[in-house]
Amino acid sequence: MDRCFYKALNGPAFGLVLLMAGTGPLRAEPGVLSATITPANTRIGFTINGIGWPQTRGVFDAFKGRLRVDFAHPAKSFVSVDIRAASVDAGGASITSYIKSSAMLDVAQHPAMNFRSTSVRRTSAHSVALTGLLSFFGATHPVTFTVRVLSKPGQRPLAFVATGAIQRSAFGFISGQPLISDTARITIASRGRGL
Amino acid sequence: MSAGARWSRAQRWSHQLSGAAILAALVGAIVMNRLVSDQGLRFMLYQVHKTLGIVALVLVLWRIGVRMRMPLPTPIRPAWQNSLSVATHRLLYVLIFIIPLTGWAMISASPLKIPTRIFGLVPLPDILPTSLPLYLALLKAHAWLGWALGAVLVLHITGALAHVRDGTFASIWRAPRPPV
Repeated sequence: MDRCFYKALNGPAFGLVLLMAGTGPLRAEPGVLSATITPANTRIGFTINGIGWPQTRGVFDAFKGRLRVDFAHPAKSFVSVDIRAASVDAGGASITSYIKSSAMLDVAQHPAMNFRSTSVRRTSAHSVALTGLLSFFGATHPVTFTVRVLSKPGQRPLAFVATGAIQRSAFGFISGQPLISDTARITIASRGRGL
Repeated sequence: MSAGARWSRAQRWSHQLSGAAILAALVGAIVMNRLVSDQGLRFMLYQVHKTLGIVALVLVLWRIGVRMRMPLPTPIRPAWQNSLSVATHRLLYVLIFIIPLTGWAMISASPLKIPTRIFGLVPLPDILPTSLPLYLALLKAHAWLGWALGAVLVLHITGALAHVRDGTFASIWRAPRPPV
């Protein structure tokens, strides 16, 4: 798979790809994809279970990140994302304002969330384990995401889905417990422009 | 209640208004819990239900006050139906008073700490400290009492419809005709 990507990225499309990605210094690194993560190509969502209420789903609408995928040396890949907590949307004004309030995410007190990867390890031909530090609710803890690559080797755009889970209590975010579960699942799906 | 003796204006209005709030809260409870799957709409309906419940509680208190100050119309016949009617009404008064109270108590005890604003404006204070076991018990009580109210209301409405001809049904809906 790397080899195919490598070939594709060495082709005439490579320069165009980097332009599309529109990130930082456009240094021609063969076999490396640098891209910007924005709501145009990525969806960041969460789900959380509760007692007496169906699973709650939500997304974050405002975030920006950088993605560097080194296909030949996955361990050299890197991801960072900054999320604006107040951009949370749970599909309704009433429930969204409750989630933003001091009873829940308290976005006034904790306006930013971010993730910085610390290690990337290939787990199969189509997946990697991405570990990094998640800062959220005033605490920072490691989180590991399982990243499944959906796009075929050598095909663009790159498409992937990253899933991970956090224990809210580790971050001191215990609001609503035990009615609202301690585990929150995070899903990041990327596809499309610039990837 | 014969056609001759009718309910006063205050009794009629308090019946109609509290009845509307109670029915809306009751039907809303079924809709929000059983029919709606969209989480945003569902959450919003819960907030509306809380406002309806508090409005119902205020109207019920007014209604009980009015009821205690004013005389009852003459009994219906036969006697056994009158006894059933009296028992049904007593049960209704108990239920429509304690159901909103258990609802208020349960949202007060809830660990979710969802702020309750009547009509989206007036904050409702908590009447109990946060407690998960208390919340779960009150939630169960609130739901069961709600179903019980539905059953007693069926009896109440059946009784009312069975007494259309003798004027009992009309007596709560229309003003008495002036004496000739």
